[in-house]
Amino acid sequence: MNPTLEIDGLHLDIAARDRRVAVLRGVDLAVAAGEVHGLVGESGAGKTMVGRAVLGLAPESAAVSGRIRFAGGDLLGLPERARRALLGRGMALIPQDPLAALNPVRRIGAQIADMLRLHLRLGRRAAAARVLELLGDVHIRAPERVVRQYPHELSGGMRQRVLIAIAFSCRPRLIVADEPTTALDVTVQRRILRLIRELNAGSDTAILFITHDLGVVAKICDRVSVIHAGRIVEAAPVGEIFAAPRHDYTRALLRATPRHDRPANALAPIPAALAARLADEAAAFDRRRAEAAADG
Amino acid sequence: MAEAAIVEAAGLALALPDRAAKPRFGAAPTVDILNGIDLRIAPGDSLGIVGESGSGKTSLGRTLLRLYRPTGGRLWFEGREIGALDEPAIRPLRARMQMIFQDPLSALNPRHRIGTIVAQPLRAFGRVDGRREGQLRAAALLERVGLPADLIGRYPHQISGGERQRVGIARAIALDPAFVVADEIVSGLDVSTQAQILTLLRDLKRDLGLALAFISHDLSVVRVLCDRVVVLLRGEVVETGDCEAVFADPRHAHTRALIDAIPLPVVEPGWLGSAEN
Repeated sequence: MNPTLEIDGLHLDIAARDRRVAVLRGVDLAVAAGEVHGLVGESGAGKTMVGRAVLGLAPESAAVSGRIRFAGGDLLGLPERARRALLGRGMALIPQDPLAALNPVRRIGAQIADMLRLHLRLGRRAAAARVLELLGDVHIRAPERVVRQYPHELSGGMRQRVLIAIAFSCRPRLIVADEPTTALDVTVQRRILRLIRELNAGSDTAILFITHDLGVVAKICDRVSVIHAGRIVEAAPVGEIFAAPRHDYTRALLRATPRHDRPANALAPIPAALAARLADEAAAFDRRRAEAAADG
Repeated sequence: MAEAAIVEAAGLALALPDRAAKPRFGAAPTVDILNGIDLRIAPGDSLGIVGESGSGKTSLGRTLLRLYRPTGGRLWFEGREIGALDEPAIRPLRARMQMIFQDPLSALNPRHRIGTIVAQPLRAFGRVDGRREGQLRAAALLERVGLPADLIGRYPHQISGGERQRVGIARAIALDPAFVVADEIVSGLDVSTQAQILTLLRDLKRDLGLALAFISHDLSVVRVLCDRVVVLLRGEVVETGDCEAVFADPRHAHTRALIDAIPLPVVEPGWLGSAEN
């Protein structure tokens, strides 16, 4: 079966003053229907930019090349209007900061109903009824009250549940979840992860789960791709990658992750020599690409 | 009774005005934030303060530094009772107690260069003569926290998040304090930056003999840095003890719940649990 999302050789450069800066250096990644696929890396590795490129939300100044196959076609060849038509029913986003993603002066119910009316063409009443069901699906108690509330009246965990309800509302084929639990307490985080997994289990929605936390990957993902400096350095099922990481960088990331079940001195920052070697590899990659462009 | 402790609290309580419940006229009613807190931090010791959002851990850190005045109980700093002191009496002690903030971007003045920021406590307490000496001391402090000395000429927005957090640490140790409160200082950072900051703090604690109150919702991070831990729930200490012992065998159900909620990088089907909350 074809994957829901298939990314081949995705390059993304951003114009900075007089030169172009490579952000993605040929990313390959595939997410099957129903799979939760972790994309894990540090700040600046390019993980958020992969999600944005998939959603068609890369910055205007970005030059994107390669292929992003979704629902049988290449997204990068699509005109803007056709890409926008995919949002909602085709693909949706669970953002990191739910407070920034919600409109502060509109009630929760109206914001969810917008999605249903726009993408599913539901009428006012049908949408209102469906909103209550959706809030129930994300285990919000007293949804009749919550629909009348404003975002600032809800806790961080509740707001993230609302965003999850919005993302799943049109049963999209793909959801990009960008650090959806990073701002939350560990206990709330676990409930939100459980909720995402539960909603995913009842559908064939594929989820691209972007995070910097290998612990979160181990708990919610089926497969994982480790990204560094705009390249996937290792991709594997979670069972394999945590039992036997193959790439030095993956191993270093694991050793840099604090663990309460290990002695304090087991923690080690990423070795400077490894960081330098990876930076050299990225620079060599950019040189080869520039030469190829000059030749071609 | 407080000899040999840097910080000690007995039955410490804090109530703050409840702004949300303020009537149109008259004073706001108060809401209890902390209740009956007992704790003790020895010189060079580090105490983890853990709990969920709203458990009172940030308020406790601020009360220990006397940024809040406790409304009950007693508080000692280096053997001296400070719970009821007024600000002029506290002021000389402030050099001995410092804070590192969670969000260094909002804790560093965007219009000041790094050198000015790091030297600010030295100037405030009259420990430097003139600008040039301040810059030299700032440069030395930056090197102490693993930053290049030439960062003194930059502004906060020109450096990375990890570098900013190191600047916050350099400023906190500028006056050679005995006690530092660090409030969620690694929660916004990548694991690799987080590991660097944690190992830096561990080295500073060892080399400078710092006593540390390390506030976090993440018990894995506390395990790396702290000797002892207190677990807060709704403003009260529900468990306290040596980190190793508490993590190996938590007695209180809330501590157990906090530990279980940490996603370790280990595949464990069933960890997410059942669908009910």
